[in-house]
Amino acid sequence: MKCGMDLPFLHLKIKKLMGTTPAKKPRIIFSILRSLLLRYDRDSLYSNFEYLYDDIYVRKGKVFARLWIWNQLFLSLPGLFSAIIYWRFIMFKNYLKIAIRNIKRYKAYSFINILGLSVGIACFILIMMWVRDELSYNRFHRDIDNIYLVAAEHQTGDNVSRGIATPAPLAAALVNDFPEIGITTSFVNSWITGNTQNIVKYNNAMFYMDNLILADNSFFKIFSFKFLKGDPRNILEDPNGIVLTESISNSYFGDEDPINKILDVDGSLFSVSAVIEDVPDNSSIQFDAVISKKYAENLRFAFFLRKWDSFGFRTFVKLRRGVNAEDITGKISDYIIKIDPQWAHRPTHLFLYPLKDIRLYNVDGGGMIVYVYVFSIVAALVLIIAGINYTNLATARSFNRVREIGMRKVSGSNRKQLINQFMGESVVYSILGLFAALILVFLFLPAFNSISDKNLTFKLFDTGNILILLSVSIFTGVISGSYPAIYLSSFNPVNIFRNSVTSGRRSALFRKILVIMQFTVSIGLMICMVVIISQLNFMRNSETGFNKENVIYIPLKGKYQQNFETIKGELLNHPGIVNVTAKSSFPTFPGPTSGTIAWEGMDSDLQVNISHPMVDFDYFSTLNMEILEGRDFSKDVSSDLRTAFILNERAVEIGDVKDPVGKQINVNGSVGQIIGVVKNDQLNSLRFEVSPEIFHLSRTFNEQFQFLLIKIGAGNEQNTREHITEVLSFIENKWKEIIPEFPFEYNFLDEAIENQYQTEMRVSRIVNYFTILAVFLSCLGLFGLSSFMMERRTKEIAVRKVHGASVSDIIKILSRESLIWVLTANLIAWPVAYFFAGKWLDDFANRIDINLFMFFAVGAVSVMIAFLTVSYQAVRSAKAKPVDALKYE
Amino acid sequence: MAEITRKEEQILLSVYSLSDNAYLITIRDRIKDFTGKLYSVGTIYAPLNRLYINGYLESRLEKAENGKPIRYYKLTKKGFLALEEIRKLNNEMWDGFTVPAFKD
Repeated sequence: MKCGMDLPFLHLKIKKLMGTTPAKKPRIIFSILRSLLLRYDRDSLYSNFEYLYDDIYVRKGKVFARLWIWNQLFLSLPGLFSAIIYWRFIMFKNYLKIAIRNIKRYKAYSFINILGLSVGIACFILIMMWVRDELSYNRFHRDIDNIYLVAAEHQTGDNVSRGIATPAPLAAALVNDFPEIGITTSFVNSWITGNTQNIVKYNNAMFYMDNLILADNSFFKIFSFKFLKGDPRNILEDPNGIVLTESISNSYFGDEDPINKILDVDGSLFSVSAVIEDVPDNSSIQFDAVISKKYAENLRFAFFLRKWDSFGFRTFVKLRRGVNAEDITGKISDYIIKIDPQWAHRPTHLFLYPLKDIRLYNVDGGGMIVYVYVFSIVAALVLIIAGINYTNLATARSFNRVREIGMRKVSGSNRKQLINQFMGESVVYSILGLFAALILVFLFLPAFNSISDKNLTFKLFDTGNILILLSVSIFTGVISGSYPAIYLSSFNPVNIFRNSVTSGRRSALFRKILVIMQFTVSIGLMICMVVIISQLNFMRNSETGFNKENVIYIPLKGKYQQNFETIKGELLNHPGIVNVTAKSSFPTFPGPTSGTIAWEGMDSDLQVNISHPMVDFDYFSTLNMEILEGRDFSKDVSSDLRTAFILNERAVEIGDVKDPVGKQINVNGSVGQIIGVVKNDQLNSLRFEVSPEIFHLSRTFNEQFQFLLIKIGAGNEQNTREHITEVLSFIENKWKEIIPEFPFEYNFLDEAIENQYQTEMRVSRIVNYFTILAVFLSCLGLFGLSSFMMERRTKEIAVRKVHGASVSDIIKILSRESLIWVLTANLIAWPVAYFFAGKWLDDFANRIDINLFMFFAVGAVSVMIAFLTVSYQAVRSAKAKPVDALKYE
Repeated sequence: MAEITRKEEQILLSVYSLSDNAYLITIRDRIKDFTGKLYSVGTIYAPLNRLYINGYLESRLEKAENGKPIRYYKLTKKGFLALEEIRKLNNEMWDGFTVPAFKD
């Protein structure tokens, strides 16, 4: 015994000799201490503490000893922690080395494992980016917590509807009458000045400006938009000042300094008073430029600014600190009714709505919050499934290493060390998966942005992000690796070398259910995908869309809305132009419905809503619409201009008009005769029923022609494209010649029709991606599970082979189980998919029928996919030499 | 060789001077004798462990009187060489060092 002659412990020895018991130690603190010590050194370190404690106890008494040990604990903490971290770091390096060695040895499995994890993590990342973006809407305003929208609740009878439009004078009135409201602002889109689209001219260049708003001078005091040039004080006081956003300013002025330059907007001159940063994508308030409300006060629409019964403005308030929004809501609720008593019978109540909630929770219900929840859950699910797949695969793979584990155990490593080793491997896998995920995110971000209609960017080098990513992947690794780690380390070496390792029954059942579930989801999604694609194809290719090729439409403005004959004539001179006509509304828009329509012999109880677009001569021939009864409009019949009406089939059907041709008809006071019936032609989305329409030529009802439609001939087969380009430039030149004040802008009609299906196309794309994802993950799961099962049966296979089974026999036997799972999944998925797909299709007026063929086709494909997945392992197992399996018997 | 910090150097030298009797408590006391500071157990333990892991010290477990094990440390060849290096370096750098006379 070497402890010998140390002076400090001399009295302890004496005590021992004298037979006194050692000092009692405070349990708690010593056990805390103990747990902080490194395992391999625990006992010796602990005994050091014990000695010191005893020593002090004897020398200085119980109280002092207790104080001392507390003191020692706190002082030792940094040292002990650093020792622990250092040790872990070294072990980590060791595990890392071993893990990488293992990865290299089993390249195929490792690759699949990492791929599965990376797909899961990548999905998680993308979805979380989306969620974070949604949650960030409007947060950039400095005083966001105090900014509220003033919304209106309208009660008509039993109906309550809510809206965000408020009367123009509300903002100023509120700030006057309620001092608790710190400041208010309101703005409105520029349409109130009478222009639906704004044309900006500068230095002989013409531009369209899409989103121009009028605001009062407190607009920039409430909202935090960053000023790049110009003075934010007194902004928007000048009725002729305009504030531009950065990209607009750059596109007009390039490198020049825009301040105080003069822009011509729809004929009025404005001077640029400031340039602000582009409005961020995550702002609910969007605009390209701002002009002062004072500008409108000089127009003939100025009375609009003082009307209390017209709702078109958006009003915002910023409350003073400490003011409660609900109190204010109570106070302003009846404000409008008090000011303008005519609202008493159709009460309109005002209330405050926080700006920060607007994106997620719409004022009138709905909003993105549902999607946020759903997608977050989906993200978590995807990650969980990827993790479970990893677990399965790792457990399956583990049989390869059973002997290694046996050896380790026999050489003395304890269970904890093995667990740590395998957990370490999982963490290594998931970190590798993280790197692969980052690559996947980078590749798929553009696609994701296009289907989610956002502009997300991935900031890799943000420390917050890096931490989150690392912790997510480490967490995934730990959780999904825990089961294999525990499972593997629990093997009894005796069993291993006796080759009688078995696995639990229950866990196998859980895994099977999981794989079947994954496949069910995949098959369900595949069916939905097929349905959606079929429906989309049906809508696009159905008759009505066909013969609208090579038709372009150009917006008509100003005086040309009435006088486009000149350009029509000039254009028709060109041989490549087949026809020119015009329409009073956007080509794919069925037209406003209004007023009263009555015809001879009409059932007097019938109420109909039929739209009545105004069209030019040659409308039907330009659009290839067939006149079924009666005749087309004709220039030869002078009365046509004022009194001729053509109904489409649907109008006849809805109105139950018998023998329409020749009947008298009264449309909103305009009396005339029905001269023909045209075949139904649907330009808007086939989601809706064909609209009933009544076409007419006359310029009553203050309607103007909004669009010029031109049909370009196809030329001959070979050079259609050059031909069209040539005709287009001809049209452009003519336009500039005849209509110099408006920019030449054209669009193809068939593209516009396509655009109707944006929503459906987006849904289709999302479903496609999800289907691919689900199929991939399911295959992974199946692969893992089937490998696992087949590894277990190596002996059985060997025995069968010895008894004469051929390779293909074995393959059949091995894959049979998997096929049963796939068929089960099919059975479950079909009714569910049928139900949901049916509901989606119900929204469409024109829909396909879901037929059985789709289900069988998907079923066959799923069986094929499953078979391919298991075949790799099946073939390998079937080809293995029986000798290897039975060697240890 | 990796950098040996001052604390580690002191511990190595203490182990050396304690010959066969170097364990955590005695090392701690020896450092107190030299420097006058009584560091906490953990503060001594961290560098001690590091030196051991990196091979400057070797250790053996021995049972003390009350049956609990204690780890005794001894310098290894690597440890000796490291100390030798430090001493050489110090000799070179400290060579001829004298404090000049200050006015105040």
